[in-house]
Amino acid sequence: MKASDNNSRLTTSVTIRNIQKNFGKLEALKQVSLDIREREFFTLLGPSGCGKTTLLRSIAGFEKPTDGKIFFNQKDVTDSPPWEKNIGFVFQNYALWPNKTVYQNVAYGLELRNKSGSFIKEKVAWALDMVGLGGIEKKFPEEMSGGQQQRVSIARALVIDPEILLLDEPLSNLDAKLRISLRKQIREIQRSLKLTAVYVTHDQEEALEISDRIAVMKGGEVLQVGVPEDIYNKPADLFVADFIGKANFLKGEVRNGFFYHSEGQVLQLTGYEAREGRATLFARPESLERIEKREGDCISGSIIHRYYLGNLKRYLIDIGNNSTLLWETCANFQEGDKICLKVNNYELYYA
Amino acid sequence: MNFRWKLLNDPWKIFTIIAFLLLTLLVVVSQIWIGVSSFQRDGGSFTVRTEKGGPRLLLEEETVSGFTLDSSCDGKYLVRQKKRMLYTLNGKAPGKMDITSLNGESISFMPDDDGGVVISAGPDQLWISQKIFSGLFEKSSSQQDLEVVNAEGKNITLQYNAGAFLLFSDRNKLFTLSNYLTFLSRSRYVTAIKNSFIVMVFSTAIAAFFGISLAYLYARFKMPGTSLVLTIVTMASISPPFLGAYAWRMLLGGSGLITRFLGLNWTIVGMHGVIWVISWLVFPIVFLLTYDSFTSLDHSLRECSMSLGGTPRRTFFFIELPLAMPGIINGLYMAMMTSFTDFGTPYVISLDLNVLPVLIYKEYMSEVGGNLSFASTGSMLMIFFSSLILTAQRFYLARRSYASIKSKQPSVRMPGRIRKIGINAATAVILLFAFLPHLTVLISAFFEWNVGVMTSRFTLGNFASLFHSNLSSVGVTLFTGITATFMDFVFGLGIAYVIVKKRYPVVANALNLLVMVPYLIPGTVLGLGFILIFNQPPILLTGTWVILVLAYFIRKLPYSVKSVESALYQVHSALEEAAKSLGAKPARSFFQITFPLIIGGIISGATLSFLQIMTEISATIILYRPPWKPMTAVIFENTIDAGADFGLASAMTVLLMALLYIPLYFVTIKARKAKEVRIESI
Repeated sequence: MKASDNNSRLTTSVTIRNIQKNFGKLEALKQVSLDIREREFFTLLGPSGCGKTTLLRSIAGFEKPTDGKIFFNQKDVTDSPPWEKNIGFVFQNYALWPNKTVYQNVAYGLELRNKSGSFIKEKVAWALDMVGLGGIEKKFPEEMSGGQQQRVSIARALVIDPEILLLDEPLSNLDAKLRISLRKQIREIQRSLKLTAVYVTHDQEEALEISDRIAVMKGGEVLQVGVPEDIYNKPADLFVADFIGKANFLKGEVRNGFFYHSEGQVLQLTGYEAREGRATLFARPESLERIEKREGDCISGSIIHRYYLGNLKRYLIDIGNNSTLLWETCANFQEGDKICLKVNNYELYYA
Repeated sequence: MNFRWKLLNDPWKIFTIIAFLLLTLLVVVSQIWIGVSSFQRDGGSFTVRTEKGGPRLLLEEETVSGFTLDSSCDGKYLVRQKKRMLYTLNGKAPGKMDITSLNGESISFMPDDDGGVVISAGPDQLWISQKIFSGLFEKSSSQQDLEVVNAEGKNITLQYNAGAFLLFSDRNKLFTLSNYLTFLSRSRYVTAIKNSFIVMVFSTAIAAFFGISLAYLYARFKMPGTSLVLTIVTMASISPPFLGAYAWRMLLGGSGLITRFLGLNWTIVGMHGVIWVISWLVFPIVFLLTYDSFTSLDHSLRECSMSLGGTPRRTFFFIELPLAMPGIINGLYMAMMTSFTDFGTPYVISLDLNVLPVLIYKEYMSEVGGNLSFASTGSMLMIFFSSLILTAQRFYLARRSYASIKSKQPSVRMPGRIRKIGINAATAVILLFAFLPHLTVLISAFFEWNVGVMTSRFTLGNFASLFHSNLSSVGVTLFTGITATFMDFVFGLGIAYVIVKKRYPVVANALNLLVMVPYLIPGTVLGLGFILIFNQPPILLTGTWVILVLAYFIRKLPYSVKSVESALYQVHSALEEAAKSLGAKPARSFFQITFPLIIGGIISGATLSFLQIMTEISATIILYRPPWKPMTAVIFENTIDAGADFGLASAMTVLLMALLYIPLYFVTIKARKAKEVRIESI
């Protein structure tokens, strides 16, 4: 078998059933269940302390769940330690061994598997090539930049042909530009190797860009699982809506097909039959649209701040009584301009 | 069953339990024994003998303790203990006496193992033994054994050697507070406590004055030869602890070189000498810790104060000094502990100056075979005072917390011309004082000594006699030192790993506390505790090399554990996890990943432990028995009395210094390299 032959790679699904993890009195994970499909790029997204890293470490076997089961392809691996699984793990701080060269770092996993010298050589070269780092085998970690170190760390995880790739905030120690290029590279590698990958991040933009599916977590619970479009446009609750991207929230009441904002504005609700009751209306800044003339009900206000974002402009609009809205558009306005806005896409969250 | 299987399956847990039990035995049990023995007291004893030629008994007045003996006019003695009438002793003939019980019970008797007799009347027991000082021409065959020849009712007749001294003792132990009451009321003991504190306070103050000011100057001004000064002070910090004492005595003692040369009336023997010598003993500790503390200050804090209008003086007192305080306090604490527990210096410099460690040693020496109750009482008081000092230090440090921000560039200034000359002169004087002992010893080792006085004849004879008759002690020092260091290495590594990475509930915390206890047990006290627990079956170790190794092992264990701990904290746990994720089992990931990263730090730590073990004296002096006699004991023996062979002591010290400074040189080089390869790069 050639070292670069990847067709024989196993594809793995991960099934998580009612995982509970307690650290003393703290419940880090509360009865979490997830299904991660074969060859899927699955992201655990949430603010710090939400349990996403604990869940990833439980999948790897670094943490033993207090309760619940984890399956790799229907095989129960809840109690198996990491060294008995075939996983690739990428750490936030790279975790390269400072006393070993790049070559020695990457070759370590193969040496543990008692591979022949020529096989190791070929495979290490293949892995470093995968991450675009040929010819630096003899360097020590501290002679390299953060981005190079993290790519070596990815190569070290890939070299053992893992069933599953687990990445724990791999980009959060890097600068903004490098983060963007490296996340594209990670996604390409995952696609070309047809790997199942579980990716932990707190950066919602990163999650939306590279994931097949996202699980949004908070306080040890999964709030929503879905493809990026659903997470963005149809957030399951106000927390998800607020955590992902920019959002407008208007508190008010739904009555007779109208939304009565508590500060006096009234909106006609279109699209579907809305249930009546007290609710919060959620709308993304780009789903607002300016209307020239007052036709029916719309939200009126005046621009108090203009943010220039290049092709887009974002406006902060005062709609009275200390309420503001964000609106994104290509059109140019000045601070102080009075405008009327209607809402094209919205979600209602009932109290 | 399941539990047992799990325990056996986790080697770290087994190790934890073994380490816990071993430490409990060596540290806790031995200290508890000291504690118990400090509350115990023999019932008392007295010695009598027969008057020469006559039947009357004579009491040796100065031997009486715990009993009251009144002589009646007919030559009888009335024996009372705590106002209870016990017996009368009545001399019948040379080597014969009647003992009558007065407590209403009849007397029974039985021989004991040492050729003596135990008599008992109801609850009152007396051990009787005889000691014969044979005259020069007497035949030993005429000795009469101690025996009971007649016993009826309340009366018993005892036969013994006519000229013998008879020791009557009540060996039943009583629990009592009287040891403490005696200790704190008799002037001999109270003076020892007072002296210990005087020595501690003044020595620390002198060392602090020189150490802190010199350290500040070297931290702030760019001086040529800074690293040389640091190396020299580091060398001074691991000198044999009593080296200064006997070198100064050679120079300024009663028949010292300088004293005789100048015809001085004044000598260094006395409290002032002890304070002076200990000051130089602890000066390097204060200097090195203070220097570290000043150089690691973030210099922007200082510059900030200056930019706001603070004068250099104000900045020093209100910004730099308070920020450096944790390191300084640490140095002062170590200096206080060292000067408080130092045994060698006061003993060598001034035989009749009692400080606590010397007192304990003397009590121990005079009470071998006894119950050591006063030595134990002194030990308990020493531990009590040491704990107070430690508590004060912890209390001070706990109230303030400083983030230790390492500055990238140390803030050094170029000194002016005059300042530079001043600093150099001060350095020269201070280093001269610190190294005068070393020079003295080095020179004196090559001259002939005659009854404690150095002659002007050059010789290599001191070394010849060392190699001829005392080479074995070099072997003992190296063997016990290496064995103990190896044990420290193994247990230090294991215990630190358990504390940092395993964190077993309860056991790991207990181990963490336990391992720091030896830190505040003075060497003398540790030695005494070992004598108490290891001088009887089932563990009879006194007089063997094992007991020395165990003592050295325990004394240096806290340092060993702490040095591995700090090395482990620098190795991020992700490094081992990365190996595990690639398929390495825990033992393998530890030995292939973590171990190579921490080994450098551990080796320098272990070498320093080894060097300190080689100069250990306070526990050694209590525990060693020939033929297991370490170098420090040889030096010590040849320095304490006036007519001793100073030449041999000097030669031995020169050899010891060679054994110390060569490894130290390699360690400092290694430490410099280790700094270049930064372990904490992640």
